[in-house]
Order: sequence, then structure tokens, then C-alpha cells
Amino acid sequence: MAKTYDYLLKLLLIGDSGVGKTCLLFRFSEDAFNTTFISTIGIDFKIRTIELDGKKIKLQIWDTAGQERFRTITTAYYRGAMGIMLVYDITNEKSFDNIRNWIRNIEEHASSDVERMVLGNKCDINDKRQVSKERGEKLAIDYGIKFLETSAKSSINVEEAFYTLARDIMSRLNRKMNDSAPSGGGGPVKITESRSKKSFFRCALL
Amino acid sequence: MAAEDLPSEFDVVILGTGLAESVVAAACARVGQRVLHLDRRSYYAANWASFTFNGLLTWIQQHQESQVEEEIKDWSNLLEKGEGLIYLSNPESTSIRNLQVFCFTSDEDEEEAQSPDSPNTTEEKAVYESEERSETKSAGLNEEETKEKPEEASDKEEKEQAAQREALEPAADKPHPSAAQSQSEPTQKNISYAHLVKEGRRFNIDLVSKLMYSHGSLVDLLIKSNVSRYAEFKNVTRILTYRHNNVEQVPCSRADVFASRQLSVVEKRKLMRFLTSCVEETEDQQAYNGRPYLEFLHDQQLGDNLQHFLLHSIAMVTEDTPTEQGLAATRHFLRCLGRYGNTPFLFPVYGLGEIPQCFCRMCAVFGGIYCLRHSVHCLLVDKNTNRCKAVIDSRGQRISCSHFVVEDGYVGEDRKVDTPPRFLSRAVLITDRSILPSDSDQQTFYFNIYLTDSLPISPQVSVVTVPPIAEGCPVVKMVELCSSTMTCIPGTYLVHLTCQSVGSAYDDLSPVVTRCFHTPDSPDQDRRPSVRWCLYFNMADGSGVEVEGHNLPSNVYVCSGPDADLGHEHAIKQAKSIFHKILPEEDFCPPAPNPEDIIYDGENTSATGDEDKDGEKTKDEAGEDKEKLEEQSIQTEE
Repeated sequence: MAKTYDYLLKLLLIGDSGVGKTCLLFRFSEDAFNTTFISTIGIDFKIRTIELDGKKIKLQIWDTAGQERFRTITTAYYRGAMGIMLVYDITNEKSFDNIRNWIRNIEEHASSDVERMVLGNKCDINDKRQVSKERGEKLAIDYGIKFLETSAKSSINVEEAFYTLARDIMSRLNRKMNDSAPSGGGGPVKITESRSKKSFFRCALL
Repeated sequence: MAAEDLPSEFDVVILGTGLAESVVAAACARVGQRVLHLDRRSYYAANWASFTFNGLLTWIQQHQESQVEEEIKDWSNLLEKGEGLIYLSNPESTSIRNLQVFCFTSDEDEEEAQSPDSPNTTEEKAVYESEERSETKSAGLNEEETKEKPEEASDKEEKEQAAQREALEPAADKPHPSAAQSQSEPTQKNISYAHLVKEGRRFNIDLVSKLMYSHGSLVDLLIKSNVSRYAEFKNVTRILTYRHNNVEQVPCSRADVFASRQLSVVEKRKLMRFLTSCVEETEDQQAYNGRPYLEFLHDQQLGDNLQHFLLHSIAMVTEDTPTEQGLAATRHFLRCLGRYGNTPFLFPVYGLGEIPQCFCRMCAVFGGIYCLRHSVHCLLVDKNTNRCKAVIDSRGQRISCSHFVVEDGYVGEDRKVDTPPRFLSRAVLITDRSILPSDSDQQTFYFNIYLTDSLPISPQVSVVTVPPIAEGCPVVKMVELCSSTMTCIPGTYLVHLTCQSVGSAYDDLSPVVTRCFHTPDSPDQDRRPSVRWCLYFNMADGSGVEVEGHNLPSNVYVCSGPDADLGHEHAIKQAKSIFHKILPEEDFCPPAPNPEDIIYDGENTSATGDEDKDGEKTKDEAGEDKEKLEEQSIQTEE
């Protein structure tokens, strides 16, 4: 099989239930919006390949499978994630307050160098807004991470959000690869290498 | 968020998130059953869990504290006419006992001096608390031993004090950090307790120690169901055995046999001939049915070396195992060779605790609802049909269900079939180097592109078989994990020891630990790895627990905890049999569609033909897909 991409990045969506994680995922991967997704049955992850600086980057974006509902996300979900979208609903104060809890969760379970980004979703419903844009920005500054307000429904900033996260991951990877260049190890995501002899001892049971 | 109410009707309610329960959950949800999966604990995987170092310390503490008996509430007001109640019990109170912790880290690390609460106090406390507990507990475990116990305990205490003196000395006598260097191995940096705690989240310490046979039922199920996409695996790179006070590598593949330096040419030829011949069943072999495998091996004129390897490290059976079983085990071993690597075993990256979670994820993807810290207090039973109609959860909500699957520990002793409780003895060690450092050429050969920061350490994953070190001692299986398995930090190794209990875990395993490793108890001669931290405990052996036949309603199924076997056959077999009892007509874990193949059509369903409206493939296509994936995975061998 010919490789149709240069890099594969694993991204996660995290946040309270009902903030629109699955809608963001569908808007980005299928350019579709459907309000009838009640839960996220059957959706493991979605794929979209984007191009950055002439490189084809395959984004594998994982959904929580509804396990966030009772705060029971498996630790296995966080393994190997390179980027995490923290999503809250601007019309729901509670979901915004919980971002801090989710960040704590990430710090506990995800890799320490994972790239993070905060999204305030549903910004099309301004009249029901409970969380101001400034508060979202302040929270992001507190944690030193990027922030955008998005709307999966009106397709506002969804592309920008995923491209930004992907670009941040790529620049970190490039830095890392330059740092570790003498060992010739390469970054952890270069899939083209994973079929080579060297990776013999790390096998995925596909 | 947790305030959200649960739906009040499910097809299957499952209590406990161990391996068998999780597989049943995934299998049921996959074929469209409405599944509610609960666990009383705050973590997944029950006694199959993996913990960070700090998580493990909390787990130890929880099991050392005297369990507060939960108040049994009277739920009879929720009963309807013709219903009876069955109360469930707390699983943690019975399955783990005899916890003992020893810490042999030194204190030269500067960070430790700075840390406000000295880790030493916590260490000491942990040791003494656990010691007390072990005395009281082991009295219950083994009556005959109680007489010797006080003596032994005081002996142990002395040893510990010695250990702690040793641990304390460098700091007390020589406060200067560099001075302590002279005490340790010249090249190895000593790891402090504070360092273990600081880097604690990079450990994934399994409560059970098992490996995955590459043609075993777990690997087959992971591939069949596509649950394998949630995890990554490492090959176990070598099989070792403890013999004549030495650790030796066991040649098990053709290449190993030819490369082996410890076998003579004649032995190599004999071994190859034997391994080739035992693939087929012959009359010659049948003649030995019912007689010990050792006798059969002996009569093959193989010599001591080969006999040892074949019995202990390849068949992994005991001296009195019947020949047919020994041969079956040998064939299984050979069948598993070379599928993914040069040993028959795989180990999941981040530890075994990932595996039940992967099945839970599959269940959730297909609509299963998950709640931790949430239990079932009692079952409501229809007195006429003797079936469980509903359960009452820990919030007093009545949830109706058609089937109830429960971890063995939640079922009260009075309802279980009377089997004598058996235990496993476990030890977990954090050591500073491999039990058999590999040659430098091997180091480059096992070079791993993913973990550039851990390169100088040879990433070996070894299984070590330790035959009984004295008459009456158990066979011990040891698994040594390196940091590239993501279960320990670079510069350390994580060693798991397991055996069937004869006495307490400390009694069973500490003799092996003192022989194979350097502890303050052992004569300080040597090049053996030093133990930095270790934990002993006993865990209930799940191999004797039956799925049915208990004094329980007919639609209640009991899942057992981990067993002593190296593989996962027991749990998978059990899960499969429970699933077929619940849903006799359904396929067990058919492949989940690959998300990349699901094409979302929005409102227009005309665009693609290969999916039905659920986005699922037809059976045939899914089958083809599976084969393709299997081929791919085999390609990794090259």
C-alpha cells in the first residue's frame, strides 16, 4: 500500500458531554453538521488529511465514546496522544469551570509534552452566552495554551482550530527531531519508518 | 457531572471491570445490547489494573487500612410483590492480603533533603503497618504457620531495621551527596525514593503478571474484534531461566539454538530433532500418557541441560505434569514462536491494565455506559422464576436488566460453591539493572526508534523461569520489563514475580528475590541488580471460580479474577462462555468497522454503496478486512 501521508498525528477531544465535541469532529472531518447526534455511538475516531508546509499530515481525531459522561475516560484513551482539544460550551458555565478538571486529568494521564488547545464552542448562539470570550482567553493564558471560539454549526474557526493544533505539534516534533538528530532516532510519528527493520520490536496488532 | 441520572433499563448490567467482565461488556455492546458497566473502585480493571508508582502507594494504603464495613441499607421498600433481595459484598476485603513493602533506596539525592516531609518516615510507617497486618492476616491464611510466625516476624523486623539503617546511613554519616557514590556501583546512579515519587506517573505497575501468547486466545480476540487498534505491544525479547545460581538464556527458536553458546553441537542437534518431532503426535508419545512429562523427556536421552530448558522454560510445567499436557504446552509454545518475534510472547505497552480498558472502550463506542465509584448493592430476584429482574445501585436507583454479570469478589461467600480459597503470591520489584545485561551488539540490534531518550539501556523484556529452589517450594515465574514498555522510568527495571501460594507472598518469593537480586539481606559480592523498592502481596486465585452453579439466580454470571497462568486463556474462555449463555445466537466480538472505512453521508445516503445506514459493513466485507489486517500484522515480523 502506498503511503498517502507523511505524518500521522493522534488528537483527542475532551470536555463535558453535550459541548459539541462530536459535532466539531464531524464538521472538520466531513464538513457536515447534524443536530441529531444524541450520543457518540459507533464513532471511534475520524480521519482527515491536511497539508502543512508541503507535507501531508493525517489527523486521527479520537472521540470520547461518551465515557466523559460520568468522568470515566479510560487512561488508555490518552496514550500516545500528541494533541488535545479541550472543549467547553459558551452557553454552559459548568462546562467552562470543568475545563480546569479536564486539564488536571490530562496532566495525570497524558504524555507530559502533549499540545493542548481550548475551544469555546457554540459561539453562534450568542444570545444564550454564559461565558464571555475574555474569560476563555484568560483561562488559556493561565495555562499558556491557545484559545479559539468556534461554532461547529456555523462552521466558524473549526478549520483554524485543528490547523493551529496540528501546526503546533509539527513545530514541536521538528524541534525534537533536530535535538535528537545525532542518535538518528527520528520522531515518534514517522510512519514511513515504522515498517522498517528498526521498528521490528514495536508491533501493532492491527 | 456525576449527578446525571442513569437510565433505568438495560439489557446487561456488569459489575466489575476486570478482563473477563470487560470482554463480556464489549461483546454484548457490539451486537447491540444496552450495557451498563460499573465498578465500585475509582479505577478500571479491578485486580488486573496497572498503577503509577503513586497510584500503587495509594492502593497499598487502601488495602492496609482496616476496611470500614459498609452499612447495609434496607432496600426492601423497593421490592415489588414476589421479589426477593440478594445483597452483594465488597470485593476488596477478600481478594488481597499480606501486603508488605520494603524500600532500599538511598538518600543521596538532593531533592530529598529539600522535600518538606521526609520520605523516610513514610517508608518506615509503611513497612511497620504492613508487617503488623501480615501477621494478623497470615494467621488466617495458613493455620500451621502461626506458631512459627512471631519468631519469623521479629527476624524480619530486624532485617528491615537493618535495611533501613543501611538506607539511612549514607545520609546520616555523609551528608555530602557525592560521598554516597562510593557505596553504590560506580556506573549506576542510585535512585532515591523521592525520585521514584517524582517520576511516579511514568510507572505502570501491574497487579497481575501475565504475557500474551502470540497465538493465544487473547491475541486472536484482539485481532478479530479490532480492539487491537487501542493498544500497542512489545515483543518479549528473551526467555531466561535460573539454574545453578545463574541466569541463563534459553534457546527457543531455530536461530537461538544455532547461535547458542551454552549448548554443544550434539545438544543443538538433539534439541532441534526433539522440537521438530514433538509437533506431531506419535504413538511413542501416547505411550507416556498419564506418566510425568519429565519421565518422557528423560527417556529421550536429551541430557540435563535440554531437559531443564524443555520442562521449565518451554513447556513451563512442573516435574509431575502428565506427558500429554507437557507436550500440548510445548506445541503451543512452538506455534506461537515467530509470529511477531523470536519468543512466543507479547507485552502491551503501558502494562496489562490497558487490555481490559481497551475492551471497555469498545463497549463504550457501541453505546455502553460507564460509571466508576458506583456499585450495585443488591439484586432483585423474581421468586417464581429465580431470575434477577433488576439491581439497586449504590444511589438507591432501581435498574432493570435481563442479565447480570459480576466479578467474583462481589458475591458473598455464603452464596458461592464451596471451593477452598487459593491464592497467588506476587512480588513487584524496582531494580537498577537487568538480571542479565545483554551484549553490546544486542543493544544496537534492539535499538528502538521510538524512545530516543532511553537508548543507552538495552530494551530487553525477559521472562525468567525459576524452578523450585528447594523441595516443596513453588515454581516462580518472573517477568522483567525495561523502560521501553512504558512501565518504568529509564535507569530502572520493573520485575514481577508470581507463583501459586504455599505460604505468604513474602515466604514464597523472598528466597528467590534474595538469590537473584542484591538486597541488604544478601552478601554484597556481586553484579546482581539491586532492589530499590519492593512489594509483596497475595491475591485470590481466580482459576477455581465457576461461571455458574452458585446459589444465585440463573441469569447471574460470575467472572473470576486473575489466575496463575502466564497466558490469558482462562479469562477469555470464561468471557466467551458467559456471552454465549446470554446471547446463544450471536457472534462473539465480530470485527468493529474501521473508522476510516465509515463514510458519513449526512442526509444523502446515495453516495456510497458499501455501508448500510449504521455505517457498518456487511459480514463478508468485514471478514475480508480482518484477513487483510492479519496479513499486515504478520508483516511486522520481517
